[in-house]
This record gives sequence, structure tokens and C-alpha cells, in this order.
Amino acid sequence: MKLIKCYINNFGKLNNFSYEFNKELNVINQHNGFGKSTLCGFIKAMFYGFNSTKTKNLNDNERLRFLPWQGGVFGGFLDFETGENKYRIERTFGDKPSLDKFSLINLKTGKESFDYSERIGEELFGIDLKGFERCTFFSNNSLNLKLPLSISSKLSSLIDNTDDFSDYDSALNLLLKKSRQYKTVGGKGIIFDTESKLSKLQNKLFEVENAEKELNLKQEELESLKKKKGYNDKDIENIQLTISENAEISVMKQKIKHYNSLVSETKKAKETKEFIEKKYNSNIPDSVKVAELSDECGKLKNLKENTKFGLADKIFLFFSLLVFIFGFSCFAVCLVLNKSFIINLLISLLGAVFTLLFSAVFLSRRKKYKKLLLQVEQDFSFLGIKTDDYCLKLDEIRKDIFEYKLVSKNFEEYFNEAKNYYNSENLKSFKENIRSKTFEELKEREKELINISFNLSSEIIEVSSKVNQLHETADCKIDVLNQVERLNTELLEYKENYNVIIAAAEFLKQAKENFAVKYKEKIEESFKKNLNSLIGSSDEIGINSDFDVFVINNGTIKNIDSLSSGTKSAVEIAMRFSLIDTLFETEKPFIIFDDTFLHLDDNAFKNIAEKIKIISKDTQILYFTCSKSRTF
Amino acid sequence: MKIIHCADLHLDSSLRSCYSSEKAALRRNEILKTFLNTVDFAIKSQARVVIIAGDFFDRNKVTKKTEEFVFNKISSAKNIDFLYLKGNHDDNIRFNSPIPGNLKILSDGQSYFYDNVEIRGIYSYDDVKSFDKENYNIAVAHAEIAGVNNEYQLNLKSLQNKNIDCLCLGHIHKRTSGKLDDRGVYYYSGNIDGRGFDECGEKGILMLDTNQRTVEFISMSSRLVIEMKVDITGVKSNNELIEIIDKNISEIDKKSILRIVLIGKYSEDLVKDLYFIKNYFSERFFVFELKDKSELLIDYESLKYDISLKGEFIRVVKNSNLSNELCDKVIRAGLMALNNEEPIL
Repeated sequence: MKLIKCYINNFGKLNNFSYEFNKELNVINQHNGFGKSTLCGFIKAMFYGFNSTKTKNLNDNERLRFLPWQGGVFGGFLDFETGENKYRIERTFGDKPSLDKFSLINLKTGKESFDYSERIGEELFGIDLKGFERCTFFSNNSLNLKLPLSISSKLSSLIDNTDDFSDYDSALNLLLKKSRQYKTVGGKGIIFDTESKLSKLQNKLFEVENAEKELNLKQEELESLKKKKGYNDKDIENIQLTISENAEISVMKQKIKHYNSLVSETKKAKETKEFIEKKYNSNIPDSVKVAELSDECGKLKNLKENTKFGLADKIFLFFSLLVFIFGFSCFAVCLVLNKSFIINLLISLLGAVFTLLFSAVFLSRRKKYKKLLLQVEQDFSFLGIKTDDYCLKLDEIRKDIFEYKLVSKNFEEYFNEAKNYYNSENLKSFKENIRSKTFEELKEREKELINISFNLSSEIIEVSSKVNQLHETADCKIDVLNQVERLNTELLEYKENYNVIIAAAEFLKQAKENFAVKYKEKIEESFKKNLNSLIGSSDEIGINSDFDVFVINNGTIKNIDSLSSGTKSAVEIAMRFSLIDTLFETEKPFIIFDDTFLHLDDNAFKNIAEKIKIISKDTQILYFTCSKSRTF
Repeated sequence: MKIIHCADLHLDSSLRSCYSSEKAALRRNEILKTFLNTVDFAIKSQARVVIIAGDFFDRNKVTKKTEEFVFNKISSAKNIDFLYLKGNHDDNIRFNSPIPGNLKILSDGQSYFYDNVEIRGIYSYDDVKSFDKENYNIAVAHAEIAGVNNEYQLNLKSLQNKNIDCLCLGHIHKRTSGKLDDRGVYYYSGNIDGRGFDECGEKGILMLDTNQRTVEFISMSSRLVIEMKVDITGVKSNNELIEIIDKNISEIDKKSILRIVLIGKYSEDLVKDLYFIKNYFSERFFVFELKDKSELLIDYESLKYDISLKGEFIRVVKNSNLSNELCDKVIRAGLMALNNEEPIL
């Protein structure tokens, strides 16, 4: 494309300024302060507008920098041709981008054209403002012959708003350096440190988890021991109970024996009592009755004695009879003899009386005896006794009564004693079927169990202590887990950051590779063509695969420094132009030289000047200089 | 009758990585204290029952200290029964000492009756026996509501038309409620105190009144967990970033556990020093976390014409299969390096 004409209403210090461009070389030789930079800025602004920025720094804020000093309409127009079309860009600018205006006029038709938008620069050249600035503007230090002429670096630095050739390299170094903070080949860095901490914590966690498992086991063991001890203690209790029961059994047995003896005595007493009761038809005579009977028996005995016809009785009766007989005999004799018989009669009467008296007494005695005997018989019969010898029986009765009283008393006593004894000693609960071991066996077993209990207690104390220890360790688990989680999160973050850095480095390399791949062939071809046009055919100068420019001198590869300054400049220009050829695929822009060759000597400049003229056949050049010696 | 419903206390939790060891220990104690305060509240309000619908503890193993505090406190509330349904975290809970008499661990289908109120624990949700329709019936479960019945997943249909008045649920830490059927309602009480940023907002317990048939939320949080998004679109410097964050958090209580999430789009001019910003605010709150979810603003239209290495680099990254978030980070790192600055991540 070619610039045709420009008109500036107001732009920086320029106002009401117009310029018509030559299609090839435009040399603008003006003093410093003329506005060369302003004109360059205007051309740029027509194609690209102003960058949106809020900074007040004039170097970075061109809107502020080029604000018209005198006020008025801030803008102008620029005519250009591209292909077969001619256009006019009209732009005015406000304080902010929203106040900017843009229009494109097709100069052939005079009508507004929509072939390009307000991003016309990018659309036309296929490059953004920075790239455009870097490529099309040759400032007075853009040709730096001191630094290595690597085209890749040049390419980057040219396009990346810097003259630092090592941008890519330094960027890559920064990334790699940053990555080494996270991880190095030698096993250092935050990631390794964190992994190491994590590993230690994992070990600790493993220990803690083991402690937890062991704690569970120990707690089970403790429970089991306590249970065992419980059973054991119960066994001890039981055995002690058995021992005491055994002692009790003996005592109880004694008691039972005693009780049984009481019962037996009671039974005996009862039997005796019953026997006596039966004997007396349950009419056991009391003492009064016995006294009566005794009296009766006494009387009976006496009476019986009295009823006995004893010698005395016999003698009395004999004599009574004798008397009677004598008396009677005498009576009779007397009677016969008619003698006084009264005495004899009296004697016989006496005798008779005595005999009768005796008989009467004897009979009376006998009757009395019989009556009494009957009575006694009845009495005894009432008592159920039949006997011949009542007096003897009475003794027996007395004996029986005495015994009866005794056994009754005994019975009652034994009965009550047995009953009370039974109740007080709680003999009802006595289980006779308790198996009792011998006392020694039981004591032996008790000792055994107490030993076991003692051992269990010791074990329990030991295990409890272990459980407490394990608790202390296991309860740390929460803290350890928290630390592990935190470190894991940090590690994840570090690894992600590391991956980001590595990815950035890889993608940067990739971008550079793409760059190289994209531009290598074109650059090589264009460089050779441009160099050829500048200095003629030169097989001495070449580009290697890394885009490094080299010189072949007598068959050896030499550094570019071995070239003359003029040739070096030519190489530099050829390189820049090859970049321009490569980068501006769609439409090649004009090139602006702004006092670029001030540093060259006259011969070198002359050389370059010739080259510039040649180049201007293909590329429109705007050459600004403030020095007459540097004009064409 | 008043009944308290709480769940998911997760006592003895190791807590999230946003806490340092010391803060984690402190926070655990605070959560334990919140439970103790809950018991005090239950005593003060004369509640008859406290229902713990699962995950009382974070693990099956309880530390001695926690167990001692919990058991002593429960024992002191002699007139209150604590009905404890086990959850997925404490399904095989093992205690170091005998449990208090008024702490009852519910088994499946086991009920406790208080006048005309029946409270039943449910672990398996198929073939649940109906409640007596004359009573006020409370079912307790630890599950998320789902379309099927599985372990810790509950299909509500299984519990419909069983005369349930109130289904007290645990497992989901956010407080919610909904209709069970024509008669009953289900409630998730949520947990009693937030632990991490997945448990934001007010936390506490629910108080049921079986006479009034009301349910009231009682806040018990000792600290609020807050996650706040701050849009940094248009921010051009770290100073502005600090200012905008400051403006957004000026009203937040200093006791809070706070996470700020940066969102929006930022230009490549902004080199965020997140480490510095985090440290700037960290002293102000109990816990302060900063997450960056903002996106690098890339003018793709301009990028088309950017033939520089930078442009190529951005294109290469964007055309890769990295996620958007990762792309932004990689681009940011690369651009900082190309600007000769040490990349800050």
C-alpha cells in the first residue's frame, strides 16, 4: 500500500498541516521540533486509533501526548491506496475513546466505504499496532550492531516493543528459575520439602493409626480382663460362700441333729404321754383325784385288812363263840338245872352279842370294803385300769401321773424348743443336697482363685496404663490429619503452580518454534533477496538454522563482526526488511526512517543511501532527518 | 413438649486445610463448646428430648477429652433424654467409658415414648411400620433425599402416609425443610457450627414444640463461615484490588472465617500478588482465605493481529486442551516472564 496524502486539523503541535506523499522515497529534512514524530504519530493514529489507557504518562498515553496544543478539532484525514482502491481515513479524537469518530471514504466513488473498520490498520496489514511500530519505524538506535544478530531474537525483540534481544531467553530463564523454586533435579525445592514433611507426617499418621488399632485391641483386652476378673471374683465369692456354707452345713447339721433330737424327745414325750393317756382312757387323774384314790386305796387297804379273818379275828370269834357256847351251854345247863341262868344267859348273850357284833362288824367291814372296793373299782375303771391290787396300781398311777406330767412338760418344752429352734435357725432353707467338699479342698481352691485375681489385677493395671498411653498417641490423630490435609492442599497448589510454570515454558518454546517454523523459510529467502539487492550477490554471508548470520571467509565460518560497518548495516537492513516481508503478509506498509543513520560515517551512509533508494522502488519510504548531511 | 433436633456435629473433626494446626485445635474446642451450649439451652428451655440425627462424632474413635466433656454434660442434664441415631461417620462408634443413662443410642425401629409423643429411629427405609395416628410422631433418619432407598439415601415415598408429623433428618449440612405428605414435614437441621467453606451461613438447632406444632431455628454458631465473591473487572493494580476487597468486607465480623473469591475479568496489566493480599487481610479475621477465579481478559480480535511472540504464545496456550482456569494461569505466568518479571502465582 502507498500513502497518498494527509491533512492534519490539529494533532499535537501540527495544525492545518498537509502533505502529499511520493510513491517511492519521501525525504523530509526538517529541524528538530518540526513535528516529525507528531506526523509519524498521526499516520499511526489514522490506521490504529489510540490505545485505551488511563495512564497520565505521556510516553504511554499518545492521546494525551498528541492533544492539540491549540485546541480545535483533534484529527484529520489520510489518503492511501491499496491494490486498485483508494481510500480516505477520517478520524477525530475526543478525550476518551467513546468520543472518537472514524469513517472510511472510497475516493473513487466518494462514498463511505465499509471495506475496513476502525481497526483498519490490523485489517490492512495483518499486524497489531506494536508490531507495526516495531517493524515500520526505524529509529535512530534501532540498528544496533553490537548485539548478536540472531534473527529469532531480532524477530522477537523487534515485535515485542523492546530492543532487548534476549526477551525470549530471559523469559524462559525466569520461568525455569521459578520452576526450580518448586522442584530441582537434585531433589530440592518447595515441592520436595513439602513432600518430605508430608512423608514424615504420613509416617506419624501411620504410627498414630497403628496406635489406634492397638488401642482398640488393648481396650478389648482390658474389657476381657475385667470380665475375667469379674468372673473370677464371683468364683471367689462363691467359693468363700461355699466354705462358709460348708462350715454352716456342719453347724447346720449340728443344729439339725439337735433339732432332730428335740423332735425325737418331743416324739418320745408325746408317745409316752399318749401311752399314758391311752392307758387312762385320756382321763389322767389329777392330784386331787390321786389323793382321793390314795385315800380310797388306803381305806380299802385298811378295810381289806379289816375284812381279813385274821388270827385275832379268829381268836375273838372263837372266844366269842366260845363265850356264846359256854354261855349258852351254861344257860342250857342252868336251864335244865333250873339254876340261875341269867349269868349264863348273859354270858351267852354276851357271847352271842360278841359274835353278832363281830359278825356285824365283820360284815359291816366287808360291806364297807366291798362298797369301797366297788367305788375304787369304778374309779379305777374310769381310769381304764383293771387290777387286783389297787394300792399297787395307785403307785403305778402315781408314777404314771408323775411321768405324764413330766413328759407333758417335756413334750411342750421340746415341742416349743424344736419349733423355735427350727424357726430361729431357719432350718427350712437348709438344702441338704449341697455338695460339700472338704474344707481343705475349698481353701486350696480359694487360694488359687485369689492368686488368679491378683494376677488379673496386675494385668489390668498394666493394660490400663498402656491404653492411656495409646490414647495420648491416638488422640493426636485429628491434629495430624489436619496437618496432612493442609500439606496436601499446599502440595497440590505447589504442583499446580509448578505445572503452570513448566507449561508456560513449554508453550513459550512452542511459540518460538512456531515462530521459527512460520517465518524461517520466508526470512531466509527474503533476507538473501534483500541482501542481494543491497550489496549484490554474496555467498560469504548466510543464515544458519538458528537464524544466526555468519560469514564464510576462506572456508571458515566467522563472526559477523568481521564485516565492515557498511556491510553490517546492509545486513541489518536486509534482515529488518526480510522481517517486514515476512510479517506483513497482506499489505506491505511504508517504512519510516527517523534519523536512523546518524551514527554512520559518510561512506557507510552513502552506501546505505543507495540501498534505500533501491528499496524504495518496492516500498514507500518516509525518510526523516534533521541533518543535511544525511539527506539523499 | 419441647424437643431439640440437631445433627452432624462432627465432634473431633480434623477440620479443613484452611486452618493452621493451632486454629484447628481452637476451632474444634469451639464446636465442642457449641454442643455444650446446646445442652445448656435445652436445660434452660426445659426441653424433654434432644435428638441427634447422626454424625455426632466425626469418626468411630472419640478422644478421651471430648468424650469426657460430652458425657459429663449429658449426665448433668438429668431430665433430658438424648436420643442418638448413628450416622455414616460414627456408624461403629466406640466409647472409652460407659455412656450416661440418659444417652440412648437408637437402633433401627426403636421407639421412645413421652406422653403422646413417639420418637423412632430409622436406619432402613423399606417397610417402615406406621405410627399410631393418635400420637405426635417423630421419625429420625440420617440420609439424603433421593429417588431410591440405599444406605444413607432415602426415598421420601417410603415414609409417606405413615402418620409421621415430623421427619428429623441429618446428613445434609444445610438447613432445609419440605413437605413429607399431607400430615408431616421433613427437616434438615444442618450442623450446629460451620467447619469449612462448604458450611457457610448461620448454623444451629431446631426447636420443636409438639403442643404448638411449631418448629423454630435457634442460632448456635460461635463463628460465621462466609464465602464472598468480589468482582475485580476493571481493577488495574494491587492497590485497587486491596481497596475493592476492603470495601466488600468492611461490615464483616472479625471473628468470622472468611473466604474471598475473586471473579470477573482482568487485563494483563494487573499482576495480582495474591500472597501479599492474603497476608494483608489475614490478621483481621480468624481465618482468611483468598481464591482466584478471575479470568484474564484477552482481546481475541487484537490477538488475531498480534504477530509477536507474546501473541503466538497466547494463541498456542488457548489452542491447547488446558482448562480455561489453567490457560489463564499459564498465560499470566508467560506474560510476566516476557515482561521480565518473576511470575507470581
